[in-house]
Amino acid sequence: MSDTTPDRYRGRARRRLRYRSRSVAASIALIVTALAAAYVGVEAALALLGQPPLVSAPFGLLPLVQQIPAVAIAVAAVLAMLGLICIIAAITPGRFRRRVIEDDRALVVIDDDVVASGVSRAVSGALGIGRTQVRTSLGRRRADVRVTPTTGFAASAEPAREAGGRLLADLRLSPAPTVRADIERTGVIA
Amino acid sequence: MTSSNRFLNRLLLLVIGLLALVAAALVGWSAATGTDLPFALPEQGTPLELGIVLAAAVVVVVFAVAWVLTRGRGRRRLAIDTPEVQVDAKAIEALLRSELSASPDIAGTSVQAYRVRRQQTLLVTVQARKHPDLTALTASVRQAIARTDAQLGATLPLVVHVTTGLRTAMAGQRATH
Repeated sequence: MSDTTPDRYRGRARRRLRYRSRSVAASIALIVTALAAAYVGVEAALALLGQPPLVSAPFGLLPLVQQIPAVAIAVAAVLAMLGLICIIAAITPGRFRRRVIEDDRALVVIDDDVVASGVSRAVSGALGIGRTQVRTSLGRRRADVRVTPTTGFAASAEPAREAGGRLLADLRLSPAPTVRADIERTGVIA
Repeated sequence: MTSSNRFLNRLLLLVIGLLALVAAALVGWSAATGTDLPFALPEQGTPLELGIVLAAAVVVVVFAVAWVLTRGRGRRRLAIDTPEVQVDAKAIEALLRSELSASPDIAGTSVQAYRVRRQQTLLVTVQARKHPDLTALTASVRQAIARTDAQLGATLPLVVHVTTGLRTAMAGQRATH
């Protein structure tokens, strides 16, 4: 009953929380395919029973669409686009915007949004300005901090960068982002 | 966190995507290139051909239904599930929630038990307020886990997900500074 989080399990859990499972996408694609298959199946059943078709017997569907070239092109374009979306979803990793906080006890995963928000707080606190005056955007390897200074009060980038960097280092994030801070030219009246 | 096979999901997407591209080629060929397809498709199906189409359609539909029904497996009610002791995941949630209630930067906590490949785990979702004090927040979470471990007398496999959420969007920043 008592077991800490074993390593091999951690690797798998890490992957599951960092990357999308594509479960929803696969289900949707499959449902759409099944609906199309169901329709064709119904047409085939009607043809086998000698009944009139809903639109056309299965083997007549393709020639029917091809009769009007504009329609055929449109249908082909839609199919090609959907097909490409499926293939791209299959191939791309689908990373969540999250990262791991290194911890012995448990696997801790944090959204990039929360990290960015926390960096803004740390920077605004260090510079003594309002939180709305700092905007942080967190990419994979770098945090970009944009500071809008209070008019009349000089602000320098170095303390901002230091404050952000210190926070990120304390958190022990993986992947660990570097910090870049920029001060806007125009300030706000505080 | 569910037991869905990620490789199969992507394989299915790839197969469906390729089928869609083939279908697009079949439909658009003559309109796009002005020539007929290099092979002939039957105009009227023989009963055998129609039967094959119907069977294939049934297989696809049955597969799709079976697939959709098996999604989302892995969720469990019990965090600890042994013959001697059973503990509801919601009980652990209540424990953690009370431990974390003192933290001003946490808007909400929820716990969901999972069992994937015979590994029992708890997913703890922590909703952080806007502009949180991250150092304090992570310390609170670690402390809450340690205290819960002590109360349970066991260290359960945990995964913690610190996120924003609807509550974060609606909630304000921490009230005290």
